[in-house]
Amino acid sequence: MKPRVSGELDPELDARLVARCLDGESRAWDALVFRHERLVYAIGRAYRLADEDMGDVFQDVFTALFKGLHRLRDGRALVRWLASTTERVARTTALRRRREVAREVRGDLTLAKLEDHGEAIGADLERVERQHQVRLAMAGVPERCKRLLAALYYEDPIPSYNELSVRLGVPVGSLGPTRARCMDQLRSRLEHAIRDGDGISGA
Amino acid sequence: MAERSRDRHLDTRAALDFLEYRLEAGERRRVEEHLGRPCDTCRERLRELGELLTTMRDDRAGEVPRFLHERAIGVFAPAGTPSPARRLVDAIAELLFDSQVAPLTTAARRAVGGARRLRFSLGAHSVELEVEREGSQLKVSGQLHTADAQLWSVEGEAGGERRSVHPDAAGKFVLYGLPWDTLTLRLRGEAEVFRLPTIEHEQ
Repeated sequence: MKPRVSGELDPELDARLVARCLDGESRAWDALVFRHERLVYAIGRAYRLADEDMGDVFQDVFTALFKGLHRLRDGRALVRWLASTTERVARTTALRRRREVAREVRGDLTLAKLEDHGEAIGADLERVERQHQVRLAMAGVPERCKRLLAALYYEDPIPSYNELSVRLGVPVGSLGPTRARCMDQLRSRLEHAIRDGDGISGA
Repeated sequence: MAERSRDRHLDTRAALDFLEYRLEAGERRRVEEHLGRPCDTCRERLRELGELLTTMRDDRAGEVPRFLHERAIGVFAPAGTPSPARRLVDAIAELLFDSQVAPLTTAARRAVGGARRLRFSLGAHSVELEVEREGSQLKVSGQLHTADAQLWSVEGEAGGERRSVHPDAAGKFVLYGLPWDTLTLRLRGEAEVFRLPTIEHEQ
């Protein structure tokens, strides 16, 4: 029997949260923001937005999400909607900011080049969604695995096994096998979500 | 014998070691010979794992700054019209168990290491905590026992710093990054807020 997707990658979780938001539960909104704010942040960062502009993007995107919740009752569509909406808002914000800078510094001559920059970043949306999916899957693996995998694959620079051994209280010789078991758990969660055809992005 | 060794498929550990250049020269050569036979199964395993590692290592957006999180949260309850949950008066959680007062059995101590264990009653719900020191910081892990635990939030404050986290679907959560100092915790549900008695640490 195929294991059921559960926890953070459960496509029904977003649907339940959306339904609860529509019922007026602010806690559900907090949970929805907590789950997906990093996706919005990652796309905004890709446009190299300053804090002030990033704040405007968050405001616009989450306001649009809140207003459009009734259209997103199918939780599987939510991540794709959030990603494309954020990209559109971030791109508009970045271009507006760069136009202002261009007018102040060098006149409008630079505008065409600046718009080209915006095009290049949009092409990475699929990658950002995939990264978000992996982050959500990470949230569902046991805490010990989460810490080990995060240290090895999200930290820069990558800590040495000796450093990790001290930090996590695990013998150096156990790190390799533990890392492999943890990676299997992470892959298993991702594979089930994709095989069921209803991963969080609906891809 | 060497022939049989070259026939051995890669398990996750060997594949990760190969991708991360952690194999000794001889073992790396054996893997390369095996892949060159060719072995489509192992090539596919390497390709999948390699893609996953690249996805994780390219994910460098970092954590979402608190001001952005609050901006997104604030969309649900606009300034001046706090949600009903935010108007709730904190209820005080009742301490049921503290390993600092009632020492654990040897077997239980072996299971949790040096962590201090606490259990609180939150009306119809309860929460178990493990508080331990990691260098100059606190690590607070726990499990909230209630329906829809992922809709709650756990807010910790120590040494003038605050962190918050949403439990997963099983109610489990971990708070990292607070300084080792007197700890206050609040658990917020949709209709209730519980403040835990201040947690002092033995020196």
